[in-house]
Amino acid sequence: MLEYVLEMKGVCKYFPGVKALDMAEMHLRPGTVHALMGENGAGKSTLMKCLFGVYKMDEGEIIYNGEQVKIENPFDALQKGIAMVHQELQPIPERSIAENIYCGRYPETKILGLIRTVNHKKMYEQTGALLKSLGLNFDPKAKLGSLSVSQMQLVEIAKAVSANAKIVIMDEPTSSLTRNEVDTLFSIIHRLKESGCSIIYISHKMEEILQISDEVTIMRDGKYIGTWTSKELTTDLIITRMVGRELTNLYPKRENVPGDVILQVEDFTSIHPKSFRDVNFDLRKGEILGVSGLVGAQRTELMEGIFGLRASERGTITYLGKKLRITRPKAAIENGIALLTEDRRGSGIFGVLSVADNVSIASLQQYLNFHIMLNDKKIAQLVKDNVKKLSIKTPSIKTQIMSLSGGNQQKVIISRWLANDPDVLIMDEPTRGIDVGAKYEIYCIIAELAKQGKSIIMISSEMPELIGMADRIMVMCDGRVTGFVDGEQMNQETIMELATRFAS
Amino acid sequence: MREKQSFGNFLLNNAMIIFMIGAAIVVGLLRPTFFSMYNFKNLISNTAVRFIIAVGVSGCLITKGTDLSAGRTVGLAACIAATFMQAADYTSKVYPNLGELPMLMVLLGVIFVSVLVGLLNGLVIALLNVPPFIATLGMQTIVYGACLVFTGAQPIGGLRKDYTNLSSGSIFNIQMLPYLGLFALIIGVIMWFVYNKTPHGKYMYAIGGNENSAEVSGINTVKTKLMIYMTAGLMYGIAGFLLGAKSGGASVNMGMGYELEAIAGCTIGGVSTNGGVGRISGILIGVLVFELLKIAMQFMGVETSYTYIVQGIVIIIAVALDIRKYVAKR
Amino acid sequence: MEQKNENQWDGKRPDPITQTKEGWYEKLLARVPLTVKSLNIIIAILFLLLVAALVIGTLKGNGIL
Repeated sequence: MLEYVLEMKGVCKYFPGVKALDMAEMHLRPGTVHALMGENGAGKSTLMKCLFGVYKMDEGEIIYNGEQVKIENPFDALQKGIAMVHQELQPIPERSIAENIYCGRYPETKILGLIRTVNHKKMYEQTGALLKSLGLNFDPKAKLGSLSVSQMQLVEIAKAVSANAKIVIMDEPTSSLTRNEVDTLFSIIHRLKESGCSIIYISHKMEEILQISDEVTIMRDGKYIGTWTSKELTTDLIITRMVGRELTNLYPKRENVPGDVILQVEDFTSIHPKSFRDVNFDLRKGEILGVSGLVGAQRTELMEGIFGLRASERGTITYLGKKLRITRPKAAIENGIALLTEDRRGSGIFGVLSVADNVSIASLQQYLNFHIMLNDKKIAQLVKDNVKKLSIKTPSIKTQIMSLSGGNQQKVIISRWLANDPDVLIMDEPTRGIDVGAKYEIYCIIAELAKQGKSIIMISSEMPELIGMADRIMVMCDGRVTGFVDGEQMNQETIMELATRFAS
Repeated sequence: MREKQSFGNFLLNNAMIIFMIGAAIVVGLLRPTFFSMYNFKNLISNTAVRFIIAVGVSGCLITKGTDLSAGRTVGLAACIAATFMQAADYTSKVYPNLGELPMLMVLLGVIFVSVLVGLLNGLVIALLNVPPFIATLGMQTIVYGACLVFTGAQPIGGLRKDYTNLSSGSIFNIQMLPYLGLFALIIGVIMWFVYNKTPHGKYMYAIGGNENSAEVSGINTVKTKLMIYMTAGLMYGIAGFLLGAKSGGASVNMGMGYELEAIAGCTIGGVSTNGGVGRISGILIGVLVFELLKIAMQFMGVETSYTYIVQGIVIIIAVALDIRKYVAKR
Repeated sequence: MEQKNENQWDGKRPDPITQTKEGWYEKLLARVPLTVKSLNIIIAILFLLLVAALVIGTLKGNGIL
């Protein structure tokens, strides 16, 4: 029996201007769960994409079952018994669950020995058996779109398992799962282990890692730092090795003093019956209001509704005593509200445009000569001031924003909103996909803004983050506000109880 | 290793331009009479009109749309212009009782129609969310129909001298500076200003770069898109007016397929099919080089069917090179 | 607020329940199984075709072929 079922040695991968992997390694023992950890940009996803054939390694070798192999593309990887569950789902909601699982490799029969057709009966049978063996209670014929996001993620995992893989790579598999579903996932993983499968588990969630994995490999800046058994590790040790230095405090000291109520939301209800309903909350000046809840709690949708991106059926927003009618983002912006969206790449940055354009785009009206011509000098000055104030690392303000790191991109978007001097800043997952060091910088910015009297609404799925940063936390479940916690009640148990009150 | 890569990439990204300039040089070497004043003036005149059309389409392309009705709209504009710019003593005048109208008035009338077409396109695309490809394809047919009705399928000729002089004349009668070139230059400068120095221009690039982000940033995407398609209409109207002068006449067949060449010129010049990118200077070079190729082929006596094949391949290569830039990010 | 708003803004946002976004050019490009290498080959072939068309067209046009 081999010591390692899989080894990756000396792996290097270059992208334009960046060395994503620098002599990275990985050693996977058979029948184990091996966690891969590191900050964003550390190279974990890149390394796995090399293994799965999505990327070509510039240097390095892969030794699989004792033999050196070349993996040309994902199909090749699957053939060799390596499957990957991606972080970003690519579901086809209109088709059945069975079709999604067997996408591209449908079981076939030949009519008259000539014409290839899909063998639906076999497909549904196999899917049914597969789902059952994993403890998933879905109907193979049901449309994938009828499932919740977290359920779709479980189907994605079933898909990887159905390929009879010997190695399953899971990239942030629990990002959309509820507590119960995480347990289901873990039992699936145990079953896989027992059947001789080895699992590579990429995640940020340290407690989960310590719970489920046997060994942990930590990467930093594309380099291999080391491998340890999960027994010898603690959260602090992991962080230290991921960051390369000791972090004494994860959250800055907050000096903001919440004042009077400036914003009142009453009876806010979406036009979509399954989305947010009957939402009531207040926001005070200089307050940081956290918003907690599971994926699917409709927190993002609520804030998008307040900002004018989503339609609401009824409800009032009162700002400084004035009732606001917000039907589009422009109205919200003009009333001093800003929204930092959850999906930076999808609705935050303008990837092909420069840092300067990204900062100034929402405040161009301020820099007009004769009401028609843009004053480039003034704009450049604004941008440079912000770069300095928020410590944005960029070669120049003309650089394309997509070449900046996630943390710096986020800072650019924050400065975009600050240019309009908003009173209320809604931030949806402000530190998602940002490494530990940059997270701290963003926390400092948030704390400073609150100190200056700005009100912050912060949606986050990381409870420690909310507990560390918020003055008060509003908890949502299935579109409704289940409660507010502050002071002594701000702990994981209380929040979790409120977040799962209506969970199915 | 990094140095070599970027030179290779530069060659590939500008491959079409380099190739076509190379082809022109080859032609010039084979037959030195290629570099004549006649060809030069021809090049400038053709490029001028095509450039204006390409600038119109570029706004649509930059916002991830397209405008397949460009050619027919130019044709309609040319027909309307020619109809009202006929010489008073012309025997087959369409409106015999109409005297000679002021040129500016006719121009404004033509522009009114072409901008209206653009407005309709914009409304269907921005408000009804119909994909631009489908919307403008439909408009293309409608405009052709309108032109058929307007012209009664009869060609229009016998144009006034002051009108045709717009095309044949030049500044201070210097052959190298035809009026058409001047008009194109003015439009180029104005549109450069709009694209680079106005909020509208920035919003255009923003919408093309990421429409979701644009909405979140408070940009009025509907209003911006309407402006873009209406501006395109404006460009087609001007181009059609000039085209009528240049051709000395107009018919319902005019302008057919012009949008494809305009899109080709834009793509060669760096306007990306993926949106959010494109410069006026690039568009000028793209159109110029494409016209150069056409003139070179005509000069060398290339058989007509083959010129179409060549133009088609050039367009495909331009798009392939553009796509390559995005696939290269793997 | 009237139903009209639903088309104007909600239609473009991901459905709040299933979170599936509308198709995108980029996603389409990502699914197209093209690599730089194969595109380079395709472009090279296209250039060859281009030169061939030019040469043949010239020869034919001048009555040589």
